[in-house]
Amino acid sequence: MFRTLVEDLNPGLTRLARTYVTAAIADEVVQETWMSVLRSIDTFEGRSSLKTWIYRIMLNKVRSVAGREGKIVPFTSVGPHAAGDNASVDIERLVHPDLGRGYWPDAPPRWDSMPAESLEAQETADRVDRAISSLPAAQREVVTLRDIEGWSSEEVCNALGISTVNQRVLLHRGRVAVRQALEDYLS
Amino acid sequence: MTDDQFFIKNELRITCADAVELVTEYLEETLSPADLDDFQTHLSLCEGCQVFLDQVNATITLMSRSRQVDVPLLPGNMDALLAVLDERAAQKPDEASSS
Ligand SMILES: [Zn+2]
Repeated sequence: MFRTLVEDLNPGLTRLARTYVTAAIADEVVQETWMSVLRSIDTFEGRSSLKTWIYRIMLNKVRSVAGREGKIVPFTSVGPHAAGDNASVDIERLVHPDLGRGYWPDAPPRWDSMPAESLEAQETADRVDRAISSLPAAQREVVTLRDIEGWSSEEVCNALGISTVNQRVLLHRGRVAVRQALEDYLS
Repeated sequence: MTDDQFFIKNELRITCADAVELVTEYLEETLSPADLDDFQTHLSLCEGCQVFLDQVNATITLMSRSRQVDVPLLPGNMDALLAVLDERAAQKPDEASSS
């Protein structure tokens, strides 16, 4: 039963940990996480699911390791707050010749209808990984759990201890940043 | 603003700058009925925002495929973990059987 739990969660825990620190350090953090899980299982109160409880243990560890290495953005940060930086599309792009500011002059380049060989190429996947890795930590966590691991928003809110609104904002910021990276690469 | 521009903006309900901010809420189905109506009306008339929505969906698909598979199924200390588990079971045989 313990083995099944480990097999279910270890790959996802490792993937998330590896977005913070090198693969070798991430693997160590995950090993320590499992040891902590066994040692503190008596304190698990069942208020959250076992899965989100284990993820919280891992995140506490990996955030502090990454923090020591100076690689972490404060978790409360929703992302860059400079004017315009927070927009899903650069406001300078949204200037229509007749309608003025706030409207597309033309539709964005259609990289999404490129042939599958380009979209499914390894380089594209690498670009996606890099774009996710360069997101602020809070966005990266939400995007990784929702869009890579396929969790529900409720599970993500529980594991990360954030509100549904905050979860949605972080998810949106992360997704549109990755969309932009794909446009920059593919167009 | 000319009458034409006024008419088009009226038809579009919201700006593209506002519409692109609503995409995730639209996909999460958390928009209020009024916002959903504005968003869908805008989208039906605006190619730029249609493309943007398609591309957010394409991004989500590509991210789901980017899931690395070369991660360990089991942690490197699995033997040590199982040893701790055995130790615990040995220490608390009564508890284990009674609970
Ligand atoms: Zn639009």
